[in-house]
Amino acid sequence: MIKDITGRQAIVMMAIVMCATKFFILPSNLITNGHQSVIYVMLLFFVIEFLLLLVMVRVSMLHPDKTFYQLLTESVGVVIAKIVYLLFFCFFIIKLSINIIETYTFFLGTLYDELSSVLYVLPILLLAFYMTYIGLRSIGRSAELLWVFVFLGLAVTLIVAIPNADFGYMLPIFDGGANNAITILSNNSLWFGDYFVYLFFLGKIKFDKNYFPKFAIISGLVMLGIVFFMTLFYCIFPYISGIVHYGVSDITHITTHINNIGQLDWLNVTLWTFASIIQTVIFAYCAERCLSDLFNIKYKYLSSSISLIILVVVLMLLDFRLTKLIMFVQGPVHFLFPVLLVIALNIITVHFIVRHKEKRQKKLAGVIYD
Amino acid sequence: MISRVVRKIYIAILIIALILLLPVSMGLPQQTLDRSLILAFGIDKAGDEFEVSAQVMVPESSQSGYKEKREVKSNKGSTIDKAIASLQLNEGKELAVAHANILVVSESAVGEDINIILDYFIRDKDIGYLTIAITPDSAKELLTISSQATQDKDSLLRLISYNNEYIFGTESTLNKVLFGYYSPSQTSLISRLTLKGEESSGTEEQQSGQTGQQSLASSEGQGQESSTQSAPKQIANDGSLVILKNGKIITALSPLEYRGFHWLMPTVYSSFIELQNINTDTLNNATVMLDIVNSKDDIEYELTNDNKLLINFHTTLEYQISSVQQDKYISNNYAEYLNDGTKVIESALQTLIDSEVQSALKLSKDYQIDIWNIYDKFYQKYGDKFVKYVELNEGDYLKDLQIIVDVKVKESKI
Repeated sequence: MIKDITGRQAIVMMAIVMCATKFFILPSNLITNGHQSVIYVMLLFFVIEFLLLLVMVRVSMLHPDKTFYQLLTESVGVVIAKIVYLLFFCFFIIKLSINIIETYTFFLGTLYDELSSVLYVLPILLLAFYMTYIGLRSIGRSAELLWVFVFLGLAVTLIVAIPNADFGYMLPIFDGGANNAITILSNNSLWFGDYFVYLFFLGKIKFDKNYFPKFAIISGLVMLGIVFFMTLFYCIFPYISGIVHYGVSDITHITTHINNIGQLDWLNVTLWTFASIIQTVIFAYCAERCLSDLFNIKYKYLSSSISLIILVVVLMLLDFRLTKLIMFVQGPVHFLFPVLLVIALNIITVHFIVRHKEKRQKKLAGVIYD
Repeated sequence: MISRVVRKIYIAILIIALILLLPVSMGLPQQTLDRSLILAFGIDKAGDEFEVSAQVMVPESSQSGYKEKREVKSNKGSTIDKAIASLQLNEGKELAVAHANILVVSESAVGEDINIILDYFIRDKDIGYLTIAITPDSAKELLTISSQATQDKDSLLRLISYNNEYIFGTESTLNKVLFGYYSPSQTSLISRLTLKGEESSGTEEQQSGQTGQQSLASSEGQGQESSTQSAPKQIANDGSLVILKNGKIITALSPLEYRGFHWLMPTVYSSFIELQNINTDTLNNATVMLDIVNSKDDIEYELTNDNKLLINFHTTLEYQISSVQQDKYISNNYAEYLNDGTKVIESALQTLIDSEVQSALKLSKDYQIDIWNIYDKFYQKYGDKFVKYVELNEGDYLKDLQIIVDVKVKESKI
């Protein structure tokens, strides 16, 4: 099988995907009602995600030549594989809607007085179509090229903001109880689970030396970075997080203003655009893969076009409005993420059981043969 | 094959788009033709209505170069939103508010709740980072004077934010005010600007060295020979702060009153302290000016067993003697006066800080204002136990508060 991406590219893409849209409206959404408790619960949540991601990486290294679809059909059969892929397709379309509407609203609120939704979406969709069409290798190379700018922007944001935060606001721990925080997180669960994209890299990674520890360290750092960003956001805007909507921009805006540095936030917003675009393209790629395997579509341009047309319909139904998106994501579809989480856990468990049985059989066969 | 065709189509689309867009963007008319750039807002109360004033920048190019003329436009309305909408209609241009960074509110407009005014500025996401000032005078007049005073559009902003003598200025920004408003303390501080009709020499920007207050003077009357003939009004910041609780003005603190609060704030930056009536072997009723160059604080919050709130404030200050005034003679060569006098000075400084902190505490109790954000500090340490304490005291958690001040001072060797 042709390896599309290097291990380094896989790590960089995962790092960008995991944090791209977590710094726009999510901090305000979570913290307004959940306060500091949400951050502690999120930390626990990330520990679980991190472990699950490491299991996925291990599976991908054990089967370097098998795609996720192949693994699924071999372990649970074609029908269940198709159902899982259908759910994943819905998941990625919703993730794309979140990404596009949120980024559009973010730009509208930070950079522009007016911004036509059509003019914003059209080039993004064309780019997504093109990148999906030419394949994962190009996406990986783009991510490899741009990740420095993205994380440099993030690092500057965090460093500049630290002196303005009062970390005393992280106390008392689990203020108001953890139940409320868990409810808030589960309602906003579709903002998480970005690491599922790794499943669609399976069989396409040319593993580098020390891939596993490198992956573990980087993804762990990214998750800690997200938690630290949320902490900073809360400790800078403890009572007004509800009216500060755009985390990454507002943190930079307020801190640079206080410290008289200048409008660093615009630079940061521009750098963050790279992350958002890469995430859009990767989600579009995953959606295309789902559709392609679901209906055995051989032509990439066809599967890519269909998935993007479905995305446009969803965007039109949501009217490009953030409030509608939030109601939609927190309402009828918020169960999708936990369902996928359970499915992924089950598949991985089944896979390991099957593999264990195979090993045992081979071992037994070896004993008899000897 | 299809791949090649698609790639070629993309390159063709890209080139055509560039060819089409480039002349279109180059030929666009200047945006100031259909937009008014607002730099500052002023809110006054006119009867039952709000009068909203906007300081508008009018860019002009002339033979002598590019100028940024500023004008003040105003309109009335039952709400801020309506007044601004009418302003836009009258102006015949779209109001571009992204550059607005000042909001001046007259005391009369604040009324029962300043949030009625601030609400508009929170919701309009195009408005940048606002610095707020309150004035007992007319906000419109203040903006007008500021427009005429100087070509430097940021001078009013600096005037709100900084005060040279009383360096204890607070962060008078929209976010900070809202933070106080929505916090359990419900207390916010806002800088205070006043209009003073004092005689002026008519310079564009003045700093009154004697009073230490910063001021902006209108350039009206410039060109007249005698300075006594012109008496343009000045915008002044004497360092006083307006205290709001739940959005309502409670009182205004003088800079010296506020200094008592500021000792317990996170960091005391360089500031001058005047010690009067200093008597030593060589000094008799002298006035000594000290420059605080460094401070190291440690504040402990304690809910005692007998259900009392206690703050232990330990601070170590490093000072330098700036000047000594003895019999109207000011000397910077203070060593000639001070043999063993430093101990007297240090003792006087300790007494001054203690008395200022205790006065601030009394003010807090009298007005029930929690400028120190004590609620948060105790809640962070004691959680529900402190909530019960507050309930037990029917919300007045300041009434039994005690502050023990422990000041160590030493002369800076730098």
